[in-house]
Amino acid sequence: MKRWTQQPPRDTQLVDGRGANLELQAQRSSLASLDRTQLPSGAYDASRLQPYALHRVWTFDGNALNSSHPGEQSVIRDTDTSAVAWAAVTYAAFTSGWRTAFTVTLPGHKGGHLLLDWAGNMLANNFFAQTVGQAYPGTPRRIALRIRAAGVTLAEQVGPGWYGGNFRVVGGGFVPAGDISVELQFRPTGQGPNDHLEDYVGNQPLLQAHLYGCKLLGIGRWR
Amino acid sequence: MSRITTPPFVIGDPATAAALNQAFTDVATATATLDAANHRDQAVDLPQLEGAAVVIRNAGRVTLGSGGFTHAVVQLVPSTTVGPATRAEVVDGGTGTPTRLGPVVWPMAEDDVVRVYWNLSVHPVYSGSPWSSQNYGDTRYLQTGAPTTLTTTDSFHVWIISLQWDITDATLTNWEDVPAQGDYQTLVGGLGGNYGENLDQVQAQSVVSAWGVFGDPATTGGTYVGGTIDRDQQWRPAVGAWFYSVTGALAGRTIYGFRLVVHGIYHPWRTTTDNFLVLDTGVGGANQYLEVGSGNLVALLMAPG
Repeated sequence: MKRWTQQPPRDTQLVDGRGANLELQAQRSSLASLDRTQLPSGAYDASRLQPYALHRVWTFDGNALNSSHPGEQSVIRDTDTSAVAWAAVTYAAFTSGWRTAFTVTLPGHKGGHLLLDWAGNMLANNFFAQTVGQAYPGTPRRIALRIRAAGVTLAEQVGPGWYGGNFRVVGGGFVPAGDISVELQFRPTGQGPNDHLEDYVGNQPLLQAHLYGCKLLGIGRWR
Repeated sequence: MSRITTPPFVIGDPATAAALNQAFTDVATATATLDAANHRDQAVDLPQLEGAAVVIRNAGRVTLGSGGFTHAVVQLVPSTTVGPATRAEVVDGGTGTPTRLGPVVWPMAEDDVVRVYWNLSVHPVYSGSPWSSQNYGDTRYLQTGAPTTLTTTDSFHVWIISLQWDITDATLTNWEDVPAQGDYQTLVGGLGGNYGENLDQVQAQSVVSAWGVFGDPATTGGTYVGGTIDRDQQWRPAVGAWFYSVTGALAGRTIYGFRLVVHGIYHPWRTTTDNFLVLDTGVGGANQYLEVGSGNLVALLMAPG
């Protein structure tokens, strides 16, 4: 805590110029640099806060994530699938590795804690998950998910794995000041030992995975 | 900025009571006129704003459905055989009483942020092989033995649980789909035309897989498929979230309530440019329904910063 006093007068003490000056200067300096230890609870009216003084909330709906196909990942969009499937991930278009579904920028992050919350719907084709005859270990088809902010992974999960489902990835950490680039990435499970990659009759690539209905929330907290 | 400009005492000055008092009076006067320039960085934090809704303006939570973890009394939502789908509100399965958040009175200002999260315990029920009459989803695999082609389902059929709000009045009789969430009540195309929604309008929904059919693990086959096997999916969670920054005409409106509605069964379909979920009435019927147990819905109205 800031020192409020330097040389408080005592009983029977003779007053001298140095003592008075020290005391006065201590009090003056405290006025020019008030900090939270000097301010009582509830001292201020919140209406006087400047915008984003303490925190900032960003939302990115589907359109803000991907204006061409709102809410959908379209980095892998195989349009050769059947008309009763989606144009999305097939094993003809995807082999392995992390792919960036969405990239957004959080403007005006002042430096501090950043929480990111990514939610949406998913699909993962699990027809061959058990492997025929159980000749091989099962290969459940999941979609691994991760969030990177300013190049650093804030959250990663093994991800949901079912024909149709939902997901939510939440992570936080301390992030420097500036406009923060956020990448939302996914990694479908690669093909298994028994996978049929095409419809036997139409020879169309089989739909394997997709992310849709995606949205992102960010909360920056600083003081 | 509140500053003190009184000159200091110097050696040789007469030490008078009046001079000392004046010096301290200057300090007292300056203290009464402090402004932002007197504050250090990080001088003000939440404690100094105690009692003010700086971050969260309003928040609420409601228990949805009924039955608890034993699923003793649950709600049955039938599948649709003639479109568009009838959307059933999540209710107490025993009494039929709606379970919804509200009435509340949450005024929305420009740039405020609405956050809603929910979870529900659900059990998709089916009998036999409803996919044998599906309109969508036929998938053909090279099969062991004769016939050489196995036609089955891709198992992409889903139930939809979507979010609605009432921003009209506290009677909670004017429910509408939240922004960027479609109602699945419009003909969009599909085989013979059907009701559905473009995937660019599904921002506030959960999906529940209607069934799961697998290549039979008990059959040898190498790169071929033997038979198929399907399993009851049992009770499972359906979670969802919706984030929204208030803008345009919605600024100045008031939130009175939130609820979830359930409908199905839908399947993927696409045009050359867009992906859709469309109603598959071929798999609907009395034996295909969704059991809805209990869950929670939490909503927050936040200041943007």
